[in-house]
Amino acid sequence: MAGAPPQVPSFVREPEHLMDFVDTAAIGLHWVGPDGTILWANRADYEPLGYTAEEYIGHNIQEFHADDASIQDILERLAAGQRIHDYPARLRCKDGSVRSVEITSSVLFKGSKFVHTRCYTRDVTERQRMQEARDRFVAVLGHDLRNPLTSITVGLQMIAKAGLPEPQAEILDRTQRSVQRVNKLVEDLIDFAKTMGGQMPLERQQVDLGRLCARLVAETQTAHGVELPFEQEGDLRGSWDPDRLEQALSNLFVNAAVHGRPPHRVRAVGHGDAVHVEVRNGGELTGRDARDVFEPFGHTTSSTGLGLGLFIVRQIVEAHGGDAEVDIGHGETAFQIRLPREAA
Amino acid sequence: MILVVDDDHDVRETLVTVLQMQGFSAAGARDGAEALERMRGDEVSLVLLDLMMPVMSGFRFREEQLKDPRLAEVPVVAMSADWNALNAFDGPVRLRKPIELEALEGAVGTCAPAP
Repeated sequence: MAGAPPQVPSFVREPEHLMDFVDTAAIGLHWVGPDGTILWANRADYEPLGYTAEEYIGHNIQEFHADDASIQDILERLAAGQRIHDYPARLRCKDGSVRSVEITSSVLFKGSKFVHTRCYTRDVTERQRMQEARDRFVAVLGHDLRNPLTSITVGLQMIAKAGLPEPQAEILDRTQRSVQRVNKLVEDLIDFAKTMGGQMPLERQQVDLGRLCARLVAETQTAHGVELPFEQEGDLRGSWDPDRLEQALSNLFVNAAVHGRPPHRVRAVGHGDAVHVEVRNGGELTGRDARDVFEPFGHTTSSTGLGLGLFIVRQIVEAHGGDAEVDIGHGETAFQIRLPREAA
Repeated sequence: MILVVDDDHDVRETLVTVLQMQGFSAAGARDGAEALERMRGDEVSLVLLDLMMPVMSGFRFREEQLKDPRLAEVPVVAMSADWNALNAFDGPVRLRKPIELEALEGAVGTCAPAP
């Protein structure tokens, strides 16, 4: 099926057009000679650093790097014929400030002769600031919400234990359930914030998924007053993060209990190198596409949460190298997760 | 006496009151330094220790406690809203905030004699 490549229009070949195209690019481009001299650069390469073309082109690239070790490493790799990809580096601006960049580069060789490098530099300073802000946000969420929730939770539980007359006892009961919901939302939000643009860290150990499912099914039945029959088959042991897995399974079970209609069914099957868990309930999820179920803030019609539960399920399962799917149709909804027994 | 060390006033006073309602003798300290001072004056049988505190953090407190042979044996239950920090704390019983009454009772039960 492969046809001839499309003809390059003649105007593209005109140096004036090419130079204009390159000079207005949104990414920094430059050539460096074998001695480290910047032979040529486009505006996006030096203007964000505060330099003019004269202050930049013709100078040695090492003058503009904030870390000597990293530019040395880059130049050595390139001279050895390696291609570097998104190499993190820090560049010094004219005003003394530093910007974070990622560099992709390789050398144009003619025979064995180093002609010049071809460097593509992307500024990631803003992205890093966002990530740092996210980390601070998570820390503040954790600290400033979990602390007051501690005195609220323990305090209410102690009052409940001491006993109250009606109707105060009923009010207390409702208050405690609301606090539980807030607790759950806070944990979901922290998880969501942590996984944005980052990896979810796992602490793997041997887990018996059958026993874990049985316990969580029992807890969900008690908490939500639904019948949730559970069956298991085969070997359900594997190396997973037990806390994370509990969170994912619990989210799936609670989702089925709260949003699904009877009959509910949970099935765990372990054969070969993976374990599957299927959670089925009656009623088709409506108003949303099967693809969107796992997206954050997906079910906005719900009054029970932010719609982060299933998103977190997918994040956890994918962090374990598995996948999460949903099948909606024929009057029922079936969630299925696959978990490889071992880390890849 | 059980010593509750936490810079969060509401957490500290709630835990002290809850422990007292359960029949324990309990008192509060605002940071690690205040806790050490208290332990050198009073008979403390268990420390509930928050980790992130100004003046002297829970980690620093633990270092100082272990250096003092008269205090080193007192059991410590770490508690924190920062779960990563909690994992880094070397101790058998740790409480993740927000703390549930049952978890608190369990931790105190394994480390302190019944009132």
